[in-house]
Amino acid sequence: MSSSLKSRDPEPAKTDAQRSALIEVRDLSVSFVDKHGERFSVLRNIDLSLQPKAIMGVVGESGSGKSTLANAMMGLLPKNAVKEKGDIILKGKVVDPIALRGRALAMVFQDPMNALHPVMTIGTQMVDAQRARFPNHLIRELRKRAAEMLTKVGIADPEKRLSCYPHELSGGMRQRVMIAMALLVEPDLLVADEPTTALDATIEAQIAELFRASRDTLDGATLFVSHSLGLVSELCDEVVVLYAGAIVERADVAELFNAPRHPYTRALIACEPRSDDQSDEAMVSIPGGLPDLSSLPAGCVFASRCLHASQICRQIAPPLVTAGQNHLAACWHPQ
Amino acid sequence: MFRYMLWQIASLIAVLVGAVAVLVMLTDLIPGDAASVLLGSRATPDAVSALRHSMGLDLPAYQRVARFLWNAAQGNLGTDAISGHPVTGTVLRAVPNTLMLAFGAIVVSIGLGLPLGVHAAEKPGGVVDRCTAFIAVGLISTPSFVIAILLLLVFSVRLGWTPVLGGGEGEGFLSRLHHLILPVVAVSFGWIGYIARQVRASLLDVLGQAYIRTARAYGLSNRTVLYKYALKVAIIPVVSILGVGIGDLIGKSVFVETIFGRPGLGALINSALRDRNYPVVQAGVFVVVVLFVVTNAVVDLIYAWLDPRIRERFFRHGDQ
Amino acid sequence: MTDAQVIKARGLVVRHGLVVAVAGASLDLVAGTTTGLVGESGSGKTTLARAIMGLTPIKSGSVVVDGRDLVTMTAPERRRWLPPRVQMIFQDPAASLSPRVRIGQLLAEPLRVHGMLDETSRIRQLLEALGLPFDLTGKYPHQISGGQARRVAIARALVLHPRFLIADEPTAGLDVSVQGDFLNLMSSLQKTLGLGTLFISHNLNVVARTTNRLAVMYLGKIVEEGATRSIFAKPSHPYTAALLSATSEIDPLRRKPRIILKGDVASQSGPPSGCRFHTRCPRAMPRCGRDAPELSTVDAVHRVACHFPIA
Ligand SMILES: Nc1ncnc2c1ncn2[C@@H]1O[C@H](COP(=O)(O)OP(=O)(O)O)[C@@H](O)[C@H]1O
Ligand SMILES: Nc1ncnc2c1ncn2[C@@H]1O[C@H](COP(=O)(O)OP(=O)(O)O)[C@@H](O)[C@H]1O
Ligand code: SF4
Ligand SMILES: [Mg+2]
Ligand SMILES: [Mg+2]
Repeated sequence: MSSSLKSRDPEPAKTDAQRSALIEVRDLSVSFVDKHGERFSVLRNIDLSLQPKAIMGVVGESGSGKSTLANAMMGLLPKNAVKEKGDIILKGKVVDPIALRGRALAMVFQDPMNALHPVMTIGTQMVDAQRARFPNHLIRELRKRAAEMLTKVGIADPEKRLSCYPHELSGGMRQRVMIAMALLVEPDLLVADEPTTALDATIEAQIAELFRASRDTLDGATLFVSHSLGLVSELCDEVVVLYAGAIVERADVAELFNAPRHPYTRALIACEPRSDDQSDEAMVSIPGGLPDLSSLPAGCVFASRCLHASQICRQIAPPLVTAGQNHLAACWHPQ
Repeated sequence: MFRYMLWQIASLIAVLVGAVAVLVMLTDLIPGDAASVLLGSRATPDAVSALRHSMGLDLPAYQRVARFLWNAAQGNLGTDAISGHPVTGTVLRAVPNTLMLAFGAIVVSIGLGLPLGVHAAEKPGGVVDRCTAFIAVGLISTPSFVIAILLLLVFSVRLGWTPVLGGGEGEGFLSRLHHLILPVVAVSFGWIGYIARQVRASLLDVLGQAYIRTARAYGLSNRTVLYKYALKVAIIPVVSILGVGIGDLIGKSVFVETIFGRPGLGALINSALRDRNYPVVQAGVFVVVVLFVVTNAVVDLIYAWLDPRIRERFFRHGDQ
Repeated sequence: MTDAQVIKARGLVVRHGLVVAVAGASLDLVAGTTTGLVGESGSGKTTLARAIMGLTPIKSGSVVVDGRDLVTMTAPERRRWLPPRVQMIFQDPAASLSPRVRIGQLLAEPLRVHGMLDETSRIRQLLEALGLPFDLTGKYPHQISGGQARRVAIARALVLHPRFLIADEPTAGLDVSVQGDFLNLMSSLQKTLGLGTLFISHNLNVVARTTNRLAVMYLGKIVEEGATRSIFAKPSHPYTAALLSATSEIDPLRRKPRIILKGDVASQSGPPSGCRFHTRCPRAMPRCGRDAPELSTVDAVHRVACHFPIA
């Protein structure tokens, strides 16, 4: 890759005590109001804490609330969303994320085809994106920063690219532009919502590499939402598993994939096809689907699909409790 | 780009030729031949055929089309069948009055429709939103002469605020403006609401797009998001509607000026029709078509200028 | 092997305006085997499939289905010849069901058109094989679940008992949690009916699990082709190697060193000279920019189009 960012070995895992959270989510619950005015719960009692330079992965089936979590942290919830409760805490202070957009917070979206303005040049958009963060800089300076950042994310001939329109760039290139834009803001939190899902495999690999390398430039934390367990396992330091709006498991990446405790996490991992596994055995799937969010079951949200569900699972929701070192799981029968 | 221009000019010419052909054929279809109508029932056959010859009516239709175009290209739109003067001067004197009305109407339609539409999009369901909806739905289809007559009755006859007739020719600029008010309102009324609706609809659509979310994610103010990011895209479809609308505005202007007695193309064509002064009718309609075609070409250029994706397509055409 | 058991596409060229979407591709589909087709988006996979289905005009080359070349047939002939032999299911198959037609009608229609009798018993058998209740036939597509709709789309493709099935990204947009179920169904149908399947996918892990043979496409050309196991074990084309290395693996022990390709896929309307991959290829030599490599044999079950294949 022509990028000047170089990846390096991840830092050794720290113990809890050594960790000082840069940004936290405390007890966040979000509902949506549907067309008929009915509320349904999309996120419940979410607690997260992200360390500087760490990449936190968020996985789960579609509809589990990953994007809602990402948007809530950015203050980008749609109009029909209701934040029931909870706080975003930056460096120990409760903050309003809306006021921090483009300053402490930046975001990369799933669809690079539509995330950039179609009739404005890349340069204008990259300059505008820095305005909130550097209100006193001249446009010329901001443009220069943009050009430098384009080089860093592996885009050759940055000056020329700045005067391009998005349709003149490929999907992979646009996603690089989006990442460059985010890094320019030097955010405390970079939120990436499925940033590689719309890209081809070889381009996905390039972009994942860029995220890995971005740690050299970025002192802030990254929230990396993806439905690809493989990608998350390779890229992230810590992983949160969401199911029907609740965190069912959270652990350091190695721990989560080596010793998953929650039946959902285990099932999800088992579903992932492996290239060198060409046995004729049937592939695994998780029968059933997400529960109806407007009338959630009394007990464990996963009980209807869980092979280990017992009486208590159907009656009382399991709390998210310690299941190992820096490892939490919400299950009555952790594996 | 060059290729695109050529293409534009070619289609422009095609429309003009087509329009002239239709005009010529219409003159053929009208009962009673133009020459005999002009000379009256007591004219001798010789006199009629002499006039027919001098008007070129004895030529086959395609030759008349060619002759008209050839002369028009040299600035000669024919000879007034009654006065014997060249028509060009008559028509050119009428054009500014019509243009003033049409452009006044365009400016007012956009000047009011755009901000009203933005406002309606910002506050869906608000007062402005509902008023523009009413105007658009209720009045775009009301014939402009009905509105014109109503306006005349209320503001000129009843209240006496505005002049009843004429274009204020020979008077000062302010008087001309004064004479312009009611006709412009009559022509643009429905369009204000229509444009406001279109702006609102396309703005609401654009505000839901991913790139607007991106702009918000980077802390851009609501104003910047709305006016710089959203409106830029939202007016693109509005411009294309305007392409169709300009024909309508010009057409309405021609009608409305007859009612207000403005000495524009409409009044000219109307009185020439009454007198069966076909050369004047032909020339008048021809100029209206030219205006229509030219404004449409301008709208197309604006369209391309606003949207780089379209611009590029034109450039590509030029490259090949 | 009889004619009926194979579809042979030879030297297919398909253009969309200036874009040469398929630039001389050859492919065999054999009854009883599943052939995977992978490649970046825009590489021409869908176009190739549509050409085999007679859905897009072929510029040159031939597609021989059950002994007859589509290119020499008239459109009405193709419409009679192909449906009982080859069927296709599209990306998001559920969306391809017409909303105002009952499921029963949807399934009976092709049978009637092709003059096949005892509709009801055929449909009953098929629905049973797909694990669908027979009373579904009275319902409209919007009255059934997404998973059922997917199965109905397969049922419709199979109702004429074709020998070949083309599936264009049938699992795109599916969560892993339900994908397995769908793929199991596909492979059990493939086995019980002896179908020859063309399986287009961008998920290499899925392709590895579900196919016997594999073709890798790059910018309208097939650059590597052979037994899936052989290609996964030892990719010969540098593009294939990069593609395989790009798939992420949960198990650190299975991770291959990643080959990061430079740049983006080149434009289809102005493909690079010589080998179309040479602009991104880590092994490219001057020769690659001049001569276009032809598919040549690696071993009995494996062919590659590269001047400097990975040994
Ligand atoms: N704007 C919205 N209005 C109503 N419901 C929504 C909206 N956005 C998301 N949802 C619902 O919230 C749930 C979680 O969605 P989302 O956060 O997008 O999940 P994910 O990103 O994990 O797929 C889903 O049930 C989805 O249907
Ligand atoms: N109907 C069409 N009209 C014009 N170009 C097309 C059409 N369909 C596909 N293409 C072009 O042909 C090429 C191959 O497309 P496609 O066969 O859809 O690739 P894939 O399925 O591998 O993504 C692309 O460059 C695409 O833009
Ligand atoms: S709590 Fe019970 S139902 Fe829920 S995941 Fe654990 S075992 Fe399964
Ligand atoms: Mg999402
Ligand atoms: Mg395709």
